[in-house]
Amino acid sequence: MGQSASFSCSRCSEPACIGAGETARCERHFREEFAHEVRRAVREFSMIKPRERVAVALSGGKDSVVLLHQLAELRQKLPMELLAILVDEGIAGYRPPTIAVARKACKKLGVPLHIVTFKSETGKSLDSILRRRGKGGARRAKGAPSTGACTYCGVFRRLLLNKSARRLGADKLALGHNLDDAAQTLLLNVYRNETDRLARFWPVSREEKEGETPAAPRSGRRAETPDFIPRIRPLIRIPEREVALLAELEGYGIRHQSCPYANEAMRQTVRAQLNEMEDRYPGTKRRIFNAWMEMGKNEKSTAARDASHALQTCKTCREPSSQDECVACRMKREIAGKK
Amino acid sequence: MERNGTRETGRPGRPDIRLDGRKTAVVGRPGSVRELLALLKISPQEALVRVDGKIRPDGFGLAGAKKVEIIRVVFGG
Repeated sequence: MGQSASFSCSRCSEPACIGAGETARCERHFREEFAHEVRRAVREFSMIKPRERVAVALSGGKDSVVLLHQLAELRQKLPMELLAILVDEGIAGYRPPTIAVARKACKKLGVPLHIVTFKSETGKSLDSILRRRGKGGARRAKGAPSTGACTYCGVFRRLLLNKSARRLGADKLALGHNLDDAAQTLLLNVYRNETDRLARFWPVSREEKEGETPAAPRSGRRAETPDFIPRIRPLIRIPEREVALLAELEGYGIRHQSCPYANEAMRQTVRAQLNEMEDRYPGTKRRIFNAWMEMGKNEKSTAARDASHALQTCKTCREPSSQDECVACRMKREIAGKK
Repeated sequence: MERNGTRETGRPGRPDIRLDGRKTAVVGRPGSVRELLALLKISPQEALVRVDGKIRPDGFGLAGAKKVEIIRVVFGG
């Protein structure tokens, strides 16, 4: 079968790399529209102000590397100081190659990289924490349960990112969450009736100033505390597949390998469901996200969220927490075998 | 041995198909990238396909293709 015009970019006559018909795009136009969507999200949710210091949570995977790349390009139009923070959990065989990718990307883009480790925070790597708990190490049998791995990882990762960003004087912490992550998270929280988490979800973790922009509600998704570095998600409007495509086109040598502990069964089910829906009804993920954004602008529900999600200070480590004592401190005691 | 519409050996005259770097042969004659992914039971949302060195859209025809590389998009990163 010869290639018809539908596989040429609808903006020019070059061969397309994605889409069909009106949505077909060549590499150049795909890149341009990708950058436009990132700028749009940054502007719409007032994510970055001129000359702010932005720390990118960099793992060396496709999302965070593309995020770093996009923000580095955005510096031409929106002056900002960029730095990258990489959390090394200590997962043998998985993390070292991604660190190499992260180093290469930072060098290419001229962004300083700061690496912090689970071991420095908890005294143990994730592998050894999980081995100790008897829940399988990195070399566990395929398909074996890994309950708890993502919970430990998420808690300590967030703690280390916030602490490091604060220590490095960052105004914002940029995360590589994409449209698929957002749609999955929203649906998961509905399926699990996790209303607190659902209420907190937003492209920015708080707003700097009350009423600054109509697109970002009055609410901070969290009440302000000086120790909490606001999180931003500039890729929130970009589908995961397009993030992967840009990573390939830019040639960063991303390894398409899953974390050996990634076994959050319900999220994988939701991911498959959403992908099937997107295939049958293109635009499904975007509509889910947009519906949530519209609901989030409702002042009444926002005020209710403010009241129930104020951040406190952990009584043990003084880090921001939604409870008297943060989950990380409780986990550290558990890891150390103390009650 | 067949698994998910694939087997480990290819046939002469057909494109060299690689899934995550491993050589793979499909049962049937996919006319397009989308048909190939369907044979392999891979969602088009979860894969990028490089045909003769260039990433191509789902509807792209495979007639005359020499090398087809399927890159599965992993969650996270």
